[in-house]
Amino acid sequence: MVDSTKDIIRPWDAFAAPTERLPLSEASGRIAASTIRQYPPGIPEIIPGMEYSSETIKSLELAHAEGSEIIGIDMESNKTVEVLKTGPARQNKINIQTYDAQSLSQEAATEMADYFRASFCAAPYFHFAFHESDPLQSLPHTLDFDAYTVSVALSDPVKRKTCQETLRGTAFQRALKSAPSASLDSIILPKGFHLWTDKARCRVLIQDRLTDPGYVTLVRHKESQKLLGLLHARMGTIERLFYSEEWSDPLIFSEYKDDNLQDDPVRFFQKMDFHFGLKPSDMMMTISAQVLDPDIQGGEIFYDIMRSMALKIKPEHAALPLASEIPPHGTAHTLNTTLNHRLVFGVLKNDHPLVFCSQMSQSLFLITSDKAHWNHALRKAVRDKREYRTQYYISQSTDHQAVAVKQNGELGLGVFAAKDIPAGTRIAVFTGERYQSDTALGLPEIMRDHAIQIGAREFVFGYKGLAHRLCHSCDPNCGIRHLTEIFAVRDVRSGEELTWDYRCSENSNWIMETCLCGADRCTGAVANFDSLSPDMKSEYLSKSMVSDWIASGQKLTQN
Amino acid sequence: MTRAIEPDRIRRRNILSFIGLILRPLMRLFTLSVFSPKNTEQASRQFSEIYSRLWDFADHSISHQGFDLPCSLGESPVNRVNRLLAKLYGGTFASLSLGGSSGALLTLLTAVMPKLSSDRDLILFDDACHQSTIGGLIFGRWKAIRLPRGKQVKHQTVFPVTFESVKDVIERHGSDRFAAIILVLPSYDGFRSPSEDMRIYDYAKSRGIFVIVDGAWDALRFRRPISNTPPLSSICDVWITSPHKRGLTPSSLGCILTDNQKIARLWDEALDLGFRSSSVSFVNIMIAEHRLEQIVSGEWDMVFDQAERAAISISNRIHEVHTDLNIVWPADVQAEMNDPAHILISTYEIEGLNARRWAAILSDEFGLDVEKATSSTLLLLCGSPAHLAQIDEIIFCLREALKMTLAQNQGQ
Repeated sequence: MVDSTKDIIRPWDAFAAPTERLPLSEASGRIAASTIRQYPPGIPEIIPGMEYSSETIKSLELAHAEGSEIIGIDMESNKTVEVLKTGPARQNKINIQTYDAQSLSQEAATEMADYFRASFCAAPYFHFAFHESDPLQSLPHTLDFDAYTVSVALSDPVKRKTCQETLRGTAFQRALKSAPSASLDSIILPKGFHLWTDKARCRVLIQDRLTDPGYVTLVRHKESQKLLGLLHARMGTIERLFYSEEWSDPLIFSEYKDDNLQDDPVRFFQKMDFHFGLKPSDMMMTISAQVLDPDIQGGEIFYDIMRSMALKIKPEHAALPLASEIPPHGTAHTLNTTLNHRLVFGVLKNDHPLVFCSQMSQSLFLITSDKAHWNHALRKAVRDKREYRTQYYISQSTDHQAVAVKQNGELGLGVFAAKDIPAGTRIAVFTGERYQSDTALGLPEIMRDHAIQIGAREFVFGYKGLAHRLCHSCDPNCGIRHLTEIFAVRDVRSGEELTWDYRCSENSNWIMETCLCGADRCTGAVANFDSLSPDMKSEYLSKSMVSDWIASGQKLTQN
Repeated sequence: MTRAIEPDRIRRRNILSFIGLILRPLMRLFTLSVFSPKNTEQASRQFSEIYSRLWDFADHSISHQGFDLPCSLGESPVNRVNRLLAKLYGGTFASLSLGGSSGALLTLLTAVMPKLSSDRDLILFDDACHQSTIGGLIFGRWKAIRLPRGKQVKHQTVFPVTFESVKDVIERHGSDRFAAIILVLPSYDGFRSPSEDMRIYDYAKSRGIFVIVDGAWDALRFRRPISNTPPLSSICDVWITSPHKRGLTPSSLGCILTDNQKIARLWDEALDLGFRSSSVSFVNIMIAEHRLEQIVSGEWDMVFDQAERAAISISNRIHEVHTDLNIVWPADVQAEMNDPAHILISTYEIEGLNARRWAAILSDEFGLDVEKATSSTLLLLCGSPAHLAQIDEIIFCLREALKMTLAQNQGQ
């Protein structure tokens, strides 16, 4: 793997960091903290953040010997230069190591189990206990256990659910305000309840998980060897992970909020098959993070933890799909945001999203390239989300600047010209993932709904930019050219809605049964280009507002 | 606080007081030159006195001696200069940078680009960038990648930047990370490849990356409309130059041009927030306005012709200095063209000659400063019309200095 990060210079970091002076001849491999330039002409050869190489040092020494004035080297004090001090950074205090899960020692497994317990007990956490009637419902330590026992006995499911939710809600609120007792193991619970913090039970649970193939990244304090955090990537069939990872109730791409899949594995597997083409016996990976020590929380260290794992994972494992329950807060949120190309395909009962990536490598391996890139991706993801919330799309450089997305009655969102736009002006470009028609049915509806056809069997999912926000009209003022570019076919006045005829790129069997465009010549339904009348076809073709792939097909037909 | 003055009206008493104030030191200077020609110290004091009074008059300083400005400066002379610069170089928006082109680059990288490309973190900068670009990268807290240029070993000069090298770096790191590419055009030695520059810009534009061109030495680009120098709008989003490097304005005045309205707005905001001092020296601005008006109206065309003819003539006569000296032409360094005023002389074929030593002797013994010297090249800048009358003298200096250098070599 090519490490391109070495090219990147961070001049400010070097400029602001503590420095020391040392002879130029000893600077090889050290990071420069100042500029060095020959005069004339005075163009810097070394800038802060650059690494001194032996070639650079030789060239500077030669230039000096030949009579050039070298600015930046203190010739009076034995030709010294300013370099960054090497000192213990936070990263240097910890040791990050990734292991093959099945090769972990018994001691390490026990240590991990105790670490999990500690993490569950350390905060008012939901995982304190569970009742055997509902083993996936974690209960906080502040619960009124006696009242909960009564609720379990209620025969009316609606009343039972309401009662239990109220008890849990009150307990969560209390738990937030009170620290758990140090001797949690000694608490005696009413019959039917079991402690998640039961030492032996927890160790068995972790032992069981570690029998699956996977990877474990352990973060330890360098000197004390104390475990500070861990990352566990686990592989198994979808069926096995479903039953052991508490995913039994995500609302996978559901259009109805009450479409709860709890205790309905069959529907879960059906949806996995439909959306992702995965069978219960297919292998998948899941990843979970547990970081308690505040010193190693936050993006910078977490990047190192994930990078350690990403570098260790074998290519065949990296090609597996990834599904993980990743809470939208804390360090896990960092992981969630980092997973590129992810789909939040379900929400669990604890409101934690269940994310899916078609390939582990697509998501996690980005971080093996460059920490700055990764940080950049995080910032961009947050910005995009904010931007989407305010303007309903993530702007691209190809979008026209003088437009606004607004509500347009029952048509929903539409794009309107904020200034007069002359004919021929580019409005937006469909930019996004391309896919073939034979894989389209396995994709979520959102992808299929926002796609346009760019070839007989090829589509582009134009989720980036403004393009997918333009509405259809049977009498449009925009057309499509070069397969994906929407442009104005006539002068558009300020305030006018920008529309294009979806049929200008479509020749599949897609159909929109009711057109609401309201144009005088509205055809009622919108299907494909062939469904247009000969007059409309020739009008669109003469104005060059038809996608290239359809226009070229029409020419062939005419010839 | 400003005293109200009537615009566009020069009063008779102003003229008289001006003449009176200037006449006295002039008379003293004349007397000194006739009766005490060796008293240079006193003569130089009289010169200073004249400059000081002229400055007093023009800049309306607090030490003025009772006269008003000859005309109103209140109606934004800076804007008038900006309009002239936009007209001269063919840009939509132009602005003076009062810290030269260095100040322009610093302002751009620390105050404009961070706001313009807030979602991007990298800047690709040319190997040949000036110190001020590095300053901008530091204080703008950018992450940066240096774009290496190929080097012509024989002539110790760099090749022009190529499209492929730019594309390679950008695609390796992901184009959505790059906020800008900073190029130095032409290179310090005056070489450039316009077709590559245009390809780079087209590529950058398609990926939302801004191209900033440091054209510090390209202040005479408006003189080359018939060559294949492309218009600024086809090579960059922002172009910066130093008109003073070619004597078009007083020193310290840089210039920035752009067609991008947002950049222009952010630039003005940055100036307003302190990047332009609120106490601008109007002497410089007045001189700049006057000179630029002359240039725009074509009054300086003959002067430019003279300068260019001088440069070409020196290049053509370089063999009179030494038969083994050569001029480095664009084809030698894989460039498409060069600026005739940049004369890069190669000493490669003269065995044992260190051009740096030659440059030192030219400077120490003949008072002729060169712009750059390596062990095998020497860069002369001949951008002055005076050079046309001095060609023989320059050739003589070059020849004699070279002889001295070679004699020193033999002595060693």
